Amino acid sequence: MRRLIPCLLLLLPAFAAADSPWRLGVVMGYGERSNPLLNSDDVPIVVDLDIAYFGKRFFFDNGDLGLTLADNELVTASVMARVRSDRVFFGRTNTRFINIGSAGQGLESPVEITVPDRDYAAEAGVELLSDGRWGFLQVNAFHDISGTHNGYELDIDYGIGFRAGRWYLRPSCGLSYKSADLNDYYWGVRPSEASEALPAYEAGAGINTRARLSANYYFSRNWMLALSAEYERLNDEAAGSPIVTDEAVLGYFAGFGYRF
Amino acid sequence: MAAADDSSDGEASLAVKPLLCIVDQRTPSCNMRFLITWQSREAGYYCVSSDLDDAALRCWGEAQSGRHEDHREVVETFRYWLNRGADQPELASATVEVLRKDSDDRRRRRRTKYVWDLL
Repeated sequence: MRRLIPCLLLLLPAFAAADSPWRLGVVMGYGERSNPLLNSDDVPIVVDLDIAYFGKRFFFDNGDLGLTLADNELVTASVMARVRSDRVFFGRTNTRFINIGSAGQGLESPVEITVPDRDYAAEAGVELLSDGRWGFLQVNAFHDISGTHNGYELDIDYGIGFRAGRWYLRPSCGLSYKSADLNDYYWGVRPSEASEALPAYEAGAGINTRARLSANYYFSRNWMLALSAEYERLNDEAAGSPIVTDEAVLGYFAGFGYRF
Repeated sequence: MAAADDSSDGEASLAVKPLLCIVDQRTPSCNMRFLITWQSREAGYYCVSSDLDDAALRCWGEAQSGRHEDHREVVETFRYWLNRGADQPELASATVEVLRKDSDDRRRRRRTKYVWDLL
C-alpha cells in the first residue's frame, strides 16, 4: 500500500486529462444516512470517494461493473454486475433486552431482541440510459446471482440539472420495485429468528420511492462545496416488518470536494 | 477564488473575474461579462488579448494599470493575457475555465447506489 499511493499520485495528471477514461474525486465533510432498523445506529458518512473508469465497452463505476452493448443517440444499454448495499443497515444494529412482548403483553423475564443478520448479494442485470434537454433517465433491472435473496429489482430514476451562477443543482426522483423474495430476505423475520419479542414476518413485493437534491457550488473547475439530501420511503411490506421502526431512510451530507 | 492570475513575471499581474463557466446540455454556453484588471511596476505600453480574438482587446500607452470590460458568449476554456504589444512575450495571464456537467458518454452521469453522486 505504501508503494501504491505514490504511484497513484504520479498518475493523477493522466487521470485529470479531459479525455481520460478515469473519473476520480474525493469529498470530505459530514453526513448521515438514517437506519430504519430496530435498535440501530445511523450510518455516518465522512469521506466519499468517486472512482470510475469508462472504457469504450467496459466500465467500472464505484463498485458497479458494466459492459456496454449499444450506444446511440437515443439510448446507452449495458449489462451490469453489482453488490447490493442494503446489508449496510444490518451491520449497525445493537442487541437489547425488553420485557414487553410483540403483542404488548408483559414478559416474565427480559428477552433478548436482536435484528437478524443479512448478507451482501451479488446481482446482475441490464441498464438503459437516455438523456436530452429534458433531463436524464436511468432504468435498471437486477437479479440476484449469488443465491442470497433469489429476488429481483426494477429501478427507474429521472433527474435534471440546473445552473445558477456557480451553483449546479440536480433534483432527481425514482421508484424501485422489489420482488417478494428480495424484500422478504432483508426485511422478513424467519420462524427460526422469531421470539416472544420479535414475531415471524413474511414481506411481499413492494415499491420504494425516493427523491434527492444535490447542490454543488464550484470554487474552481476542481474544488467545490457539495451538499446532498435524500429521502427514500420504504415500501409498505418493508416498513411493516417488526425489525423496522422508520418507514423512510433520510440522508444528508455537506462537505468539500475535489475532482481530479 | 473569484479572480486570479495564472502566471505573472513579478513585474505585472492580471486579474479576471469571473473565471468559471458551467455548461450542460440545457445551457451549453455562458453569457459572461468579464472585468479584466492589470497592474505593472513600471509605466509603459501594455495590451490585453485573448485566445478568442486575433487582435488585442485593448492597449494602453504609458500606463501602469488598466481596467477593461469584455462581454462574450463562452463555450470553451480560454485565456486572457497581458503583454507589451503584438509579438511580445506574455507578462501575465488568466484562464477562464469551462466546466462541462454534460458528457458525450452518458455512463458518466449514471446514478449509483453506493455514493451520493456528490461530485
